[in-house]
Amino acid sequence: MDQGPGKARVNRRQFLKLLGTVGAAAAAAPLLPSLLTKVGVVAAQGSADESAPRRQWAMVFDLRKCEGCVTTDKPPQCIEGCNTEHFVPKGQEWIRVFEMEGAAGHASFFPRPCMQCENPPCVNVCPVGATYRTEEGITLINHERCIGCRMCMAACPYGVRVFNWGDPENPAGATFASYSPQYPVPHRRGTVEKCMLCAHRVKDGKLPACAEACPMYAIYLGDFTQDIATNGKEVVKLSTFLADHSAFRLKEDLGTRPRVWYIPGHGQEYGHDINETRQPKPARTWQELGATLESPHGGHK
Amino acid sequence: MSRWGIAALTATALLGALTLAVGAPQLAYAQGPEPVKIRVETVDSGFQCAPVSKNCLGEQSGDFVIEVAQGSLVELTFVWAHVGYFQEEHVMILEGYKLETDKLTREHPEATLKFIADKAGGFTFKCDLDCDVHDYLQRGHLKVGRGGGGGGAAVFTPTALSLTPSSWVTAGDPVSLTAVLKDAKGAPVPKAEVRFYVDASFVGTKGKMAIGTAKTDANGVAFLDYRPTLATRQQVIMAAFEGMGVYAESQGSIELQEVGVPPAAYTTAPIGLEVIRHWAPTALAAAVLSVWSVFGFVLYQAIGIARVSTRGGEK
Amino acid sequence: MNVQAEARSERLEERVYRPLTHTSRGWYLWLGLLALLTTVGFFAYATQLQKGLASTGMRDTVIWGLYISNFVFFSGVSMAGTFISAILRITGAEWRRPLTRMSELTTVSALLMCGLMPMMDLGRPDRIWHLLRYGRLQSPVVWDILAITTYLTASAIYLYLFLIPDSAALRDRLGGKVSGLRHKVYTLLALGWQGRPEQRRRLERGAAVMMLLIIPIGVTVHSVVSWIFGMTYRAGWNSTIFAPYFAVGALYSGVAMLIVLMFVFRRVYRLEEYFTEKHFRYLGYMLAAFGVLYLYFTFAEYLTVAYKLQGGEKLLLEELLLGRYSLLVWGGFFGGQILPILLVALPWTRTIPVLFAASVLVNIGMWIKRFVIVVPSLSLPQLPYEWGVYTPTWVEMAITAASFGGFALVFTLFTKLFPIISVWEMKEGWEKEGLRALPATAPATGGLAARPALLTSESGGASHE
Repeated sequence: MDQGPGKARVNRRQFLKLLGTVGAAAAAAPLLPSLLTKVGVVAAQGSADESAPRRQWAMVFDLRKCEGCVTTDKPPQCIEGCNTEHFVPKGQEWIRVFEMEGAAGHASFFPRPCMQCENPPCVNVCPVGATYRTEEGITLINHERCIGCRMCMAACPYGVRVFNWGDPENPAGATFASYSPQYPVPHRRGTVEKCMLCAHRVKDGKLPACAEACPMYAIYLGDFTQDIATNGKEVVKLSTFLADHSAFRLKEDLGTRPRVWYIPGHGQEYGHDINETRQPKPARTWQELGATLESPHGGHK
Repeated sequence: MSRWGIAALTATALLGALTLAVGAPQLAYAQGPEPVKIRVETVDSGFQCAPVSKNCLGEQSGDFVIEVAQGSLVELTFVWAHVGYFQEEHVMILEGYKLETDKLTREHPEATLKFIADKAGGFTFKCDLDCDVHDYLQRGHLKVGRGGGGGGAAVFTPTALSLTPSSWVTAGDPVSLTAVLKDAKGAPVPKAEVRFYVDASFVGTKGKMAIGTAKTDANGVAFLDYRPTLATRQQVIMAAFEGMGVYAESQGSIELQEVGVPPAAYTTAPIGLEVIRHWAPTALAAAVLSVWSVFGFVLYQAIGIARVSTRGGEK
Repeated sequence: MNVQAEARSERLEERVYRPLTHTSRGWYLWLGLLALLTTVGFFAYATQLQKGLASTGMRDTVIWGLYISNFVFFSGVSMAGTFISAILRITGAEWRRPLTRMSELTTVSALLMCGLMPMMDLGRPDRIWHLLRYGRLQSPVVWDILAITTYLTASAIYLYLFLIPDSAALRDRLGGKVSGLRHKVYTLLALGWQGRPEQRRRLERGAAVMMLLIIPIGVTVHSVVSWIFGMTYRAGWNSTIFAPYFAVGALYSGVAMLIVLMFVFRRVYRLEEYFTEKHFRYLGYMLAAFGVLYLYFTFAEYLTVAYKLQGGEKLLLEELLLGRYSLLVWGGFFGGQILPILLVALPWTRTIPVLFAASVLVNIGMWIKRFVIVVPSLSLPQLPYEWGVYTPTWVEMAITAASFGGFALVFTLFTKLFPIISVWEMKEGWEKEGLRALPATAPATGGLAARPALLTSESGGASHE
């Protein structure tokens, strides 16, 4: 070594100290934000109206009325309503209708949106907190934070989440539309999407798109705080409605505590026979339905 | 936070308009057509017509059948006529019309149902209470033929339904609602089902939300405890009575005024293991930091190696 | 005695230093191949960046595929270093000495590839910094990141610590034969090591701490990787024994990878004198032992599921054992688990080439097992939809091949800079042997203390030409 002892010592020591500090900082850095969030420094996402009592949203699907739209000669309207409202990317369905086989071998149609669980596995596993549950009970996704690791998709026991694998097509003018987690338009590549109970609509006092589109009025929006629910035609007391008709939730034993209830049935109120073999038609995309930002429903109800 | 709190519930009882007869102010119950009288005896083997008539047909291929024309005024009398089974007591119900008799016992062997057969179709009447072996034996079928029979349908008796909140209410407790149902002569109507509704509006849909049903007792009074959950100050509560096929439909309504926001009808239960869930991230952070600090210690040893060499001078 | 020891040392150094100063044509060819693989991988990744993950075979049902399978596979391989270096050091097994550096390097290289794979899998790699800014400690993904970075740092420190005396030797011995820059690197890394007792003390202190610490860190990493799956409700993943299952699997595949690497380096660098039949045999025993343990866990896992046949588990098990994945499952089971154990257990098959073949089979079988853990549970839908189908595209396969290429590349480049056998540890071992053989009349080589000494500057300097 040609350098004097003092200089060399400082160089080496600094270098190694730097290594140690950087390493410790690298370990501590991911810990810091979550510590901050606990203290409440980071602003909570979502709106709050302090004067009104906090709503607790719920949905009820009256399966006595749902017959998969097979008798209407149209594809399931709930799916199409959702597709046009949110310009759901091609290949995705945020609400899906599939056939469940009853214990007696009869078929019933089962529309399945996001369950809006009270103990959501998706929120629990998200590494960056991109998906979160509002105080009103809706689970939202912040598409500006999502890193696309798809851990939430692995964790969801109902398979409600979908992913933008490529570049999703957005309607004209959407690029300049103001994005919000409540109304995730424009859609972004590499992020997760799902039904968000039309948070932008219920906020404005409107029914979710699927509920409004259902011709059988089978979909109810409910509020546990006021103990009330409506499907657009009648208003019912939510707790009585659920109890009187033995409403159930999907995969209740998992402890996810969904906010979406189902009243057992198989479309009998609209004459759906248990021997009915017709299948629902494939739902059309928003492009096929001609929806635009100005008129999402493109002329269709 | 926002409960009933200090403010008490003040019920400004505005008694709304009361009864309304359907159609014209015809009142005469007694002026109607002759009632169709049917007597059915409850015997050990089931039912028995007493006597058999064109209305009481008896056993018809396994079913006990009675038949009336739609719109006719019916008096259906049950008579306790057991030879054995002395201890038996029965309450007969007529489904569809939701009527029930008083208790039939050996001491009180007769009970009558009076109603207007305004609904056509088939209805089951049967023993509903303390039936024992007669649960299956005492079942009969009432057939109400379509179309009016005889001259002029019977006219419904108007009833008066008055609705008040209970005289004393306590803040934070549910409101007790009282509905009194009387017929045109002022006599109370017992065993009548009164439904209660509140005017509600939710995400743009207005409607009457059913909040409960109650049956009137012998004095014609029905009680319901109502816990307000809607976030509106003024709530219009309505009570309705459908008529049981005997009386006209009637309604009554009141307005409640709430002060303060009602407590939420629903609180989300905690997920569980709250303490552990609260402290787990901190524990994890502490564990990770302690491991990295050990790395720091080890690197410090390495630094020490370097320092020893320089302290010892050149190689 | 001294002369014999000197000759032995010289032979070792000559063998092991040779790649540092002489580069054969074969090495360049091999490097060319690896460079080609990694280039294809880069190109594939560029395609993926351009088109998004739609260029892979993953879709809404099977959301994870080759990338996550590789991730789990490499994390499994990384156990090797910990095991050999730490556990065998603590238990004082002398035969480990030639293997330590290679195994530590295996860990570092495997962890580098392991950490790379989830980054390939992200839908928004431009947002990777969100993990630092918004990271949530409640997420298994964040546990993964913490565990892998901690393990990588620990392994790197561990590798480096035991590299210090050898760096010093290289600094002293290869003065004229290497470029000035390289010499500076050796000098820097040597931290002024002169074999002095105070330095030795510090090194041993640091090494002892790391030795103890790295074992729980290693076990934690595999547990945490398993919890990516274990914390979900999916059939086949919702198992409480996933953590020890993965840890044992890691030991199994790590030892197998070591045998493979040992065979390769033995051939390529002519290290037959150091990677002896005894090493292969001992590692083979360990392979068999871990294999049996892994069989036990597999059996326990499948039995508890198969007995109850609950819901989705029933459907999954049918597809795994009898349906579309049955070929992979049974092939991996017999080829990757039963056969290698037999090959080790039977004395007449316990030869070096056969052990190498058995280890290759184990690695292939374990990769298949990782794939079988990840993909079928995802293709089984959570609600009565259709089963998902997964066909990897060339992008995924190219990146997988590139990751294996990268793994090999780390070794290839490392052996050009540092000896693959830890020279000073070998010498330390010989000195211990010598002390034991001649208790009273130990000829004093300079600097020998009562307890076995590490390489001193004088003995190192003595052989300096």
